Amino acid sequence: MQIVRLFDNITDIPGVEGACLLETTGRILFKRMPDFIPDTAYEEAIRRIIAMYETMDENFLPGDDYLLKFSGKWVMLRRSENLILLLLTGEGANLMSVRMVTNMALKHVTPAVLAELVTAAEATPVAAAGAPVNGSAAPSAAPTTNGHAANGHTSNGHAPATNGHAVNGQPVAAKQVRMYRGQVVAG
Amino acid sequence: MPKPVTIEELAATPNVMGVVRASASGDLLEHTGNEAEVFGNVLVYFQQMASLIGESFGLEDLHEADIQSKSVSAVCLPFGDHTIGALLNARAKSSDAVAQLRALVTRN
Repeated sequence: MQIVRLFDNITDIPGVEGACLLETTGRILFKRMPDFIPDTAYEEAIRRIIAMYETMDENFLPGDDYLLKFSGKWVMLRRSENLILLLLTGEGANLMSVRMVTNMALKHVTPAVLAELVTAAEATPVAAAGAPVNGSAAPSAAPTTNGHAANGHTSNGHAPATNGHAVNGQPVAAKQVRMYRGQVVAG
Repeated sequence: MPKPVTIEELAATPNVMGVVRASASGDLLEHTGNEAEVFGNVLVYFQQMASLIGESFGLEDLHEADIQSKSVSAVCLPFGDHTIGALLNARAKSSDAVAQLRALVTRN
């Protein structure tokens, strides 16, 4: 899957600790973030990110790039037409390198790639319950879980974006599927 | 004893187009330069939202927040009980401008 390679290129940059691709509506399309961030953090963070973009666009400057510097870690936000790329880096990451590589990554998220991601994100509740998501298992079958699937990064064992959290304002619980030994069962 | 830096001195930093200072409660204390007042109106909101985004991820102590558009960039620098915002032109290298602003503010 092309998106995995794009994320590989981003996380290859020294200092980049994680990346997450969102729709501007807030749905997570792909995520490869460090394990210390719990899955429950994203819903709140994404709501705030979108609110900040909207408010600043409306009241000040329609800026696409934000850089938030905290002690020890930086959060970088880059917006393209329909997407927001969230990056977590260590202090002192080379921003020029990050910008160059993320420019390319965003450019390569074509409508076809995006459609693939959206389809995968919509399908993930089933995959999350039934398919392995931790690196060694068929990454292309369950690619949108935590983004670690394809490159051997440590999985956090969750299926973010679509693991039951209402990341796009629509609780995933409504789509719950009961599984038994990897098979969907009635009820 | 050196005098505290004035907002005009901050605005004289190369590639800085405007500077604004706001209180922690969001009151605009002073501003100078192009569009600085507009930035001042959102400065504290921006700082608060940036802090909250970090907080969601377990990050603390926001010490700088930048916005970048094609022609202008803006930086927000919390300093104790007030916040300084600066608008930078397209030629500015944000890190250099911020370093100069910090040096001026903390020269005492």
